[in-house]
Amino acid sequence: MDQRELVRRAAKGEHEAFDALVRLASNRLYGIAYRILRDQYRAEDALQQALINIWNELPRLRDPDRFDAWTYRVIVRAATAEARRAGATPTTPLLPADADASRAPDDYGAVADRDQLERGFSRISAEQRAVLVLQHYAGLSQAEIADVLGVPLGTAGSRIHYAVRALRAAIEADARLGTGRESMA
Amino acid sequence: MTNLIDLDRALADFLEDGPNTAPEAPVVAALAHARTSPRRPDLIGWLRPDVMAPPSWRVFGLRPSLVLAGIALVVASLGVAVIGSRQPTVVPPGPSPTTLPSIAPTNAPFARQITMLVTAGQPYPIDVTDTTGDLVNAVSTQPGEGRSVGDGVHITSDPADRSALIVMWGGVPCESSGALRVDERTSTMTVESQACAGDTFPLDRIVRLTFRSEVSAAAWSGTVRVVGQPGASSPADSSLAPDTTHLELASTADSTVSIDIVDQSGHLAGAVSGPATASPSVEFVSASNVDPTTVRLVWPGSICDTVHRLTIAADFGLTVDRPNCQLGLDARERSVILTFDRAVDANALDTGLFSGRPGSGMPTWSLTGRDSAGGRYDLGIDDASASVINVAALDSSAVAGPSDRFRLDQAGQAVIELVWIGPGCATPPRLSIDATGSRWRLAAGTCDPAAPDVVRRISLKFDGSRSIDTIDFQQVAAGA
Repeated sequence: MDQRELVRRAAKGEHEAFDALVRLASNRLYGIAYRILRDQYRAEDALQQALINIWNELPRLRDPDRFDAWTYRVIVRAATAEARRAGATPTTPLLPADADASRAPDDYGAVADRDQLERGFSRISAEQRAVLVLQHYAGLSQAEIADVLGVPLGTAGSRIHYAVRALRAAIEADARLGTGRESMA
Repeated sequence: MTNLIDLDRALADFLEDGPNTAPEAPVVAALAHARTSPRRPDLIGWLRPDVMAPPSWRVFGLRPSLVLAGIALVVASLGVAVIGSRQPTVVPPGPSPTTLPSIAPTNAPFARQITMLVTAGQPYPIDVTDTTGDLVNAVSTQPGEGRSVGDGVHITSDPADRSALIVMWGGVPCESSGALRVDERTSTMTVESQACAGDTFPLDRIVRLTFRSEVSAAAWSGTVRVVGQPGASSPADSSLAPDTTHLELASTADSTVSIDIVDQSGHLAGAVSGPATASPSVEFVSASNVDPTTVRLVWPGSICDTVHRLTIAADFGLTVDRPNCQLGLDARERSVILTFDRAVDANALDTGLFSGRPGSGMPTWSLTGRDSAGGRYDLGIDDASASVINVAALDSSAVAGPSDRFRLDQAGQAVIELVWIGPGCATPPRLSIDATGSRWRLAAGTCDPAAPDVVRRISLKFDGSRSIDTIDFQQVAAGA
């Protein structure tokens, strides 16, 4: 039975179909949640809430072919809500105050090692982490990210752009504070 | 260590690290929630857009709610402008509004044909009648997709109007007429649903009834009657009463596996069990033709699935209901061979498989365990509170019998163990938990009076904290 039929049946309330859908999607969704939250237990909570939301809202998904995109949306919302609930996420302004607006993200070249990335990633907002996870982990295109987030294409592009800038700024701030293990180039 | 690396590539590598397999706990918890929590009826679901509505649905980048609010503001402004521009009207002397004759309540019985709004199929007329004239209005409300209530008629109060009731039941897309009979004298409602041929997957039907005075939903009950053969225009035909057949299914274990077959088609000529198979060949319920009049129905299950109900709808749609049972047990395939008195195309049948569906007539949960004497027992649990998310039969061999014939133990914040002494008979006991979750009744089941007492022990896990101090537990006679 294909996923489209599973979605159709689960939307009608068939639990076995929903079970199968969950088995198909849960690894993918957990991977997203974990990478946004960087915390196993919060990711588990987000996954559980997302799956419950999927069950509750599935009848309102008109096109079964959009199930995957929709579940990305649900898990991103659950993860960012979980991050807000945890309340301990240090955030960086959407556009870092010291960012050079004339520089495109690609101009930043390159920079960080893994620890710096870990620290920098933890300093940007959950929403910013989400777009980076969708792009670099889930491998979604800008258009697909726009679809997942329910925003226009240009807005998705801006969010990716500013998320990269915010990450770069966080890494640079980390280096300036001397918390990086190695100096930045 | 190299630190001059491309940020994009570094980010991709960084994000690649980490778990890619979901832990079992949140998945099991969510599945249990779905199984025990029916979707709530969404009375304004039709107002809600598709969950993946594209951004273009917005107008000038504004949210729909803002657009609607803006339109409402403009309309209101225009109304004020128009009214304000009118010359004052001289009102001729006459009776004050308070002396105007009011619309006197008529005591004539209510009788009106309304249009039933549906999510699939065509809107159709439904006759609404009452007996006393206390009913003053009836309107159909657009339901959401799918079905949110079990079998029968679901009656709730309208939170916005104490004199109104929201009445819900399940219909099928092929219906073309129906009736709702309201009897205030007995506080009962009868839905007459027309039998028809076509898609039989049940969908919500919603009618809002307004009465002259306050009404309490708790006092009301309702039933659904399927009337008429497909294509027939005559009302109820007593010969169409559903016919139930009890059938023992072949089993690969020592358990008895059974199915009650409810035939609403009137065309079932016979039913036999298919062979028992330890390795399911299907993921879902599946129907196939053995010959033009014989259908083989196969579905996956577990060793713990011991009781089932198969409903054959008027159009031969096949729905299997069974209780939930402990997750993770050995898989089994169940099958039944159905013979009809006419040709039936299995590929065209709508099929469904449900576990623990409220209103299905099946227990919410079933479990199988061994009592202190080593004997097997089956327990059915009716959980009206929809808060039980798992059950398990525990080792009863080394458990001291409770002095009061039962004992509740707090095994965790959300886990309660029940130990009880009962007759060691084969007839399954039944545990009922009321809608509040606090009133438990255990019916021992009928038994050979000479059968010795045994001890049984089970655990129930809930979806939240549950204290044994809040539980009123009683053992009652069978059938009580």
